[in-house]
Amino acid sequence: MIEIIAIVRRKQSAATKQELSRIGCQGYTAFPVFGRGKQRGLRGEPGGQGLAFLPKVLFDIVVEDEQAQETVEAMTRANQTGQFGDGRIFLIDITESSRLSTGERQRAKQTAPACAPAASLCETKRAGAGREVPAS
Amino acid sequence: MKMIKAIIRPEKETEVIQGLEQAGVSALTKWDVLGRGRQKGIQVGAAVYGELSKLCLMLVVKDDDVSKAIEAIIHTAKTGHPGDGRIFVSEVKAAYTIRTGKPDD
Repeated sequence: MIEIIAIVRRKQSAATKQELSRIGCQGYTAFPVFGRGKQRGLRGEPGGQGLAFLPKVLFDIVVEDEQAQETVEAMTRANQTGQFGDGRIFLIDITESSRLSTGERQRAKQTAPACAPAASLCETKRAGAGREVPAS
Repeated sequence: MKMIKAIIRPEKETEVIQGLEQAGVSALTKWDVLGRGRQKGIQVGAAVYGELSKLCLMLVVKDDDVSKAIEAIIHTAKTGHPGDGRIFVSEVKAAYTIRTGKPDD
């Protein structure tokens, strides 16, 4: 399982939800946050105040490994304007999850293919980044 | 790449962010949270506060910058009393910039 953390523009939040439901991803958590990236907020006019932190929405989605790429693409499609401030997407490994209503527990698959889509996504060949997965 | 989540005192916000900026880490996301730690909140007279208001900072940095960022947070957020907060570090599998749609190194 992979947790997808996406920080996007608040204005795009409805479009993102629509896009997520279109690809069949119903479950997510979203909440308002403030953040800034490489640009360090909005600098504004010289001598002006600017804005140190910009309002964003954080989407937190946990999906199976196979759906990770599709979800990242959907998030990108819904949020890409080409301007600075479109946001960032982070992928994190989840080792176990449980459903509270039924008590059902789910462990991440340990087999190598389960990890392949995300590994091919990431393209970076970092040494010591966990399991060795052949790039497909 | 590593994700650092720090739960800090809200009154230390400006100080910590300035400290991080000096350490060369300026990109971060923050939100308000309620939480408690080992002390299970605080008791002031008869009033028991189960959860205290804290600020959650989330930053994703390169592996080499992790200790620098953690030191900056600890240096600025520390008062020495219980309730200073916690820092958690986790591995980030991949990071994308939506503007370009490309994964970062």
